[in-house]
Amino acid sequence: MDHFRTVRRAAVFGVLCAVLLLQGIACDTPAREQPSPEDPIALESDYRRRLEIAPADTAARYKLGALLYRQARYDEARTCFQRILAVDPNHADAHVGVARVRAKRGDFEQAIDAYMRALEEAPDLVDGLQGLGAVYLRLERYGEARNVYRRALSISPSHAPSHYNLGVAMAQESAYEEAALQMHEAIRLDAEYLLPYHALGDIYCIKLGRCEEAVQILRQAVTQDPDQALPHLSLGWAFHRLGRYQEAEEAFHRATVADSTSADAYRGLGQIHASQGQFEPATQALHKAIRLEPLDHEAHYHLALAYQKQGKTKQAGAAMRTFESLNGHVDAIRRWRTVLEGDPHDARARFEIGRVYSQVGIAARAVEQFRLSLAVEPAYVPAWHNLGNAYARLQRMEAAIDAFRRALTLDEEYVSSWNNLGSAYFTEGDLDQARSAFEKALELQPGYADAHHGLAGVELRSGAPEAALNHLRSALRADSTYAPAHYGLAMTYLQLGDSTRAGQEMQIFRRMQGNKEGRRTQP
Amino acid sequence: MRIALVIWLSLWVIATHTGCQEKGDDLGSGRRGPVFVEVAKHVGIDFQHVTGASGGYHYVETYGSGAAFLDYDGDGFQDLYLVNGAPLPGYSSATPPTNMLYRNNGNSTFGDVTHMTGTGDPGYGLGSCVGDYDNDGKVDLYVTNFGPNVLYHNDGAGAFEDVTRRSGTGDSRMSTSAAFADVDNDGELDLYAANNARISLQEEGCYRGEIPVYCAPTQYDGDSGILYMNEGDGVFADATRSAGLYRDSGRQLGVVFSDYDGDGDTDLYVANDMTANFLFRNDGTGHFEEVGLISGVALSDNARPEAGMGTDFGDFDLDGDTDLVVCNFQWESCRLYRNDGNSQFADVTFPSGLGEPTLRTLTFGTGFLDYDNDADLDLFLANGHVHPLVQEFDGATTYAQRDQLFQNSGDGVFVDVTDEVGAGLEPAKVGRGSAIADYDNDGDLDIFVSNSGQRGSLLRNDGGNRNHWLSIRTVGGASNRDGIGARIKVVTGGVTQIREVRSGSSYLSQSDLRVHFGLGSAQIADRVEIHWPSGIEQILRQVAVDQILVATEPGQ
Repeated sequence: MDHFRTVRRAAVFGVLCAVLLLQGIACDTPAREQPSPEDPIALESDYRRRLEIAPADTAARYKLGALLYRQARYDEARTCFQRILAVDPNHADAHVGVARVRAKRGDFEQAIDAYMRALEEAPDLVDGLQGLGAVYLRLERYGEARNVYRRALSISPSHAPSHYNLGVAMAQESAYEEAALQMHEAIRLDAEYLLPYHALGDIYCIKLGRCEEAVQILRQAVTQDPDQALPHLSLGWAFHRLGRYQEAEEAFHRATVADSTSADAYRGLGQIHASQGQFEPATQALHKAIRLEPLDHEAHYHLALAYQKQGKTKQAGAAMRTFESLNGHVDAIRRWRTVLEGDPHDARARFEIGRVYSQVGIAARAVEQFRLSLAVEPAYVPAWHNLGNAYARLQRMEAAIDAFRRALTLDEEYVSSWNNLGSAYFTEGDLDQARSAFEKALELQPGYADAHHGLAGVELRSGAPEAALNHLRSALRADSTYAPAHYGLAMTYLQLGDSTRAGQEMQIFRRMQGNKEGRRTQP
Repeated sequence: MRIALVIWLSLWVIATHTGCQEKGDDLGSGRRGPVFVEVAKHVGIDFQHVTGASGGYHYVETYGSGAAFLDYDGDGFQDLYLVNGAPLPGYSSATPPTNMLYRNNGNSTFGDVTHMTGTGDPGYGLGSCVGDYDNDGKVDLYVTNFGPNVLYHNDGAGAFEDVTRRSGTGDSRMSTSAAFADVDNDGELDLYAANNARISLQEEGCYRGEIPVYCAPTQYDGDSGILYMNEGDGVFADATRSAGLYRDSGRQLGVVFSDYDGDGDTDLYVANDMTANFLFRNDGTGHFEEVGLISGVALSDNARPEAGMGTDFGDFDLDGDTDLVVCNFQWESCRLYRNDGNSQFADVTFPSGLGEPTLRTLTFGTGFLDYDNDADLDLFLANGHVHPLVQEFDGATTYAQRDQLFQNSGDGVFVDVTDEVGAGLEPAKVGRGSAIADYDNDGDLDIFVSNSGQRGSLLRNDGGNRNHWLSIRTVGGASNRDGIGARIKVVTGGVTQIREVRSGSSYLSQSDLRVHFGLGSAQIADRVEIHWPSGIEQILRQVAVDQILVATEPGQ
């Protein structure tokens, strides 16, 4: 049976997983993968040819499904597995295939169901146990993950990846000593298996404070694969904790050579420079980290401190404000970045990272992430909707309109998209389309304050201020705290020549805005 | 505004007591170092802390309580006030627990004077601090509760009067640590009380699998501390907002005042549980600006908030400014922030050697002290977990934990000497507040640890006085009577040490108001400089060692 894995992707993913695993982030830890030695196009042709000859050839169909999965053609892969199950509902491997696709799509509960089904048919199916364990880890159900991996190891005790994954589950439950034992066992079974080295490095240094031991372990990992950034990164942090700044600097530098796009490496360099009082190079390195990854909140934090130490209080303040704006998103950023480092095709993770970019105001990056999410999962309505919002923030209204329409094609009752479509048309000056969109939103949700407000704007621009007033009052009836309606009323009253009422409404609006600001800041 | 008035005094020394000690060799000569002996019951302290728990897993049960050393009767010996919990729903006991005051008899024994002094507050007590808020020469006492706090006025005749209502200091939230300080330098002590979280006893507990546990602090909204400005005549006014100290984003636990920036006014550090810690910088007028983040003392080195419990300021590297330690939960080290001047701190937790040994412990009581009198500040930590059943889901730790003592090696590194200082630190307990004082006036610092749901521990220091020492009690004139906020510098040979007279610190606790300097082998203190809060500077030269010096603020 094929295993849809590759060493490099698993290594990259698993290494970062190890680096971040002890920060409480669930890691999706796929089993170890082997590279296909053959041309995938040729393979696909071969499998399809065999199926043309013998459509009931489940072995060929299964292999085709596995190949398509590896190529991230998940819908096609799922179709293969489901066709197998249509003929043979007890085909355990096909259930596992379906489970894996579901997990990729973020349908974790359905993935669990499929794994369970596979294990009903084949209780000793190690791949099924491992996949199930990985889903449990992803869902932070560490106790269940632990039990599943123990079961896998009782069947296949020499399976190094299962030891590794069991260690991951244990570490997430703060059972660090036990986790370390599992990692050691994984290494003992397969000295070339890189993931446990990095996990051990983190367990020993970051959690247990035994950084000298971590250094020894990580040096072995570097020897195994000196071209990867992550072992150098982990070494850098271990040296940092030991106060061996020169060695840390060298390790971080090697990490940047191995991967010039590693924001973590540049942040490490920045912190090391700062620790040695070298604030000028520290700020340069930290800026580089931020350019590579604007969501790196630690980089913003250390940049602020470095600026402050140079007496550059204005820049320090700006960096610290950015850090504070990211603070509420730290857990989300870490979780989804971990997932993405292991699987760049994870649609959900791309979407969530896109949302974070949106929330912190980096619309261009948000667009990138939403588009990547949609490349994997083109029917994901929220991704289209949020893509539309991001385009709108960038003032790319045509693209925004297109995105909202795509969302509505998939789900014509997605009321937010109707409303935002209306706003986009309004900005473009297409009042008829705007009106139509807002009305549709209100048809679906009569108390939608935003849509009433949007319609008010259309009426006002159409020279119908009285109609605008009605809509603004409707907005306030739906939501008495809806401040923009008071602003709208002020503008409408102005147009009607009633400056007194306009002034009153503007006062109310300012007071409401002030209260909102007050709740966000300290008195 | 600083008034510089240098008063030159010659060899005028008022010795209240000269301790008997062995002088001679430094500890580095191979002689055995100091040891700590647990003597609580032996000296008459029969205090059992009560959490009031009855299986409801109420959040407040985990906090334990603190202790306060104070000389309430002015006889020169440190008495001891111990804060207790109270019954929570479902808890019953034949004898309702109260706080207790133990009078130091002067012969290394203590007697229970709770009833006769009227200090047995029955509320759910957490912390306490002391200060002569009305400058009548008798130290007063403030108690923080889960519920209304209490201010006790010392009548000077051996009793205290509850003046909470009159004074306006009865904040009724979940108050934790507190401290008196003269924040506006008007000669009268003001009072800051930290508040933790808005909790209700109606809340349900949490579970870890099937195991009942206390809910995480992140489940509760934070609350602001309160600054009570002393308006004179025994009355305080809530000046929290006008002073810039209102912050309800934190879950405040530890509180410590210090003039960390050396500008002549007292600043405030607040340790918060799972939110950024606060550093409030005083502008000299009693108005504060929060600068914790930009000063580098709010978060861990990976920009994350930590559990923030006990805290203390002390000049561990002898460079003339106060550094900061704040201690945290398991898997979070105690953080040591070195003061680099210009309101900037560097996180030196791991280079200092504190990082690894404090990873697995959960630390509440925190205090700098020179336990071996070798002229640098060491560090004591009181440890204990919060989950009684923690071993059922985390085999790497225990509920009861050993306290720790770290010796300052003199080059910025702390060495864990817990196993080398005798049997006193051997038992694992559920440590909470810790207070430091030379209770037997023998020239070395002793420690009291309040243990949650257990008997308190009085750790008597035996042998710390083999090196020379100097203890100073300040008596203010223009400054507040206790001299709280005074910054004292002692120069012996090439070594310059600084201390501050401080109310409140550590966790929920109050250490000896007298400041203690270990002097190593120095036979004389070349110079003692006292910078009074009033701005007056006083210099004493050629001060005899091994004494408790009473320094009175000149000019009155």
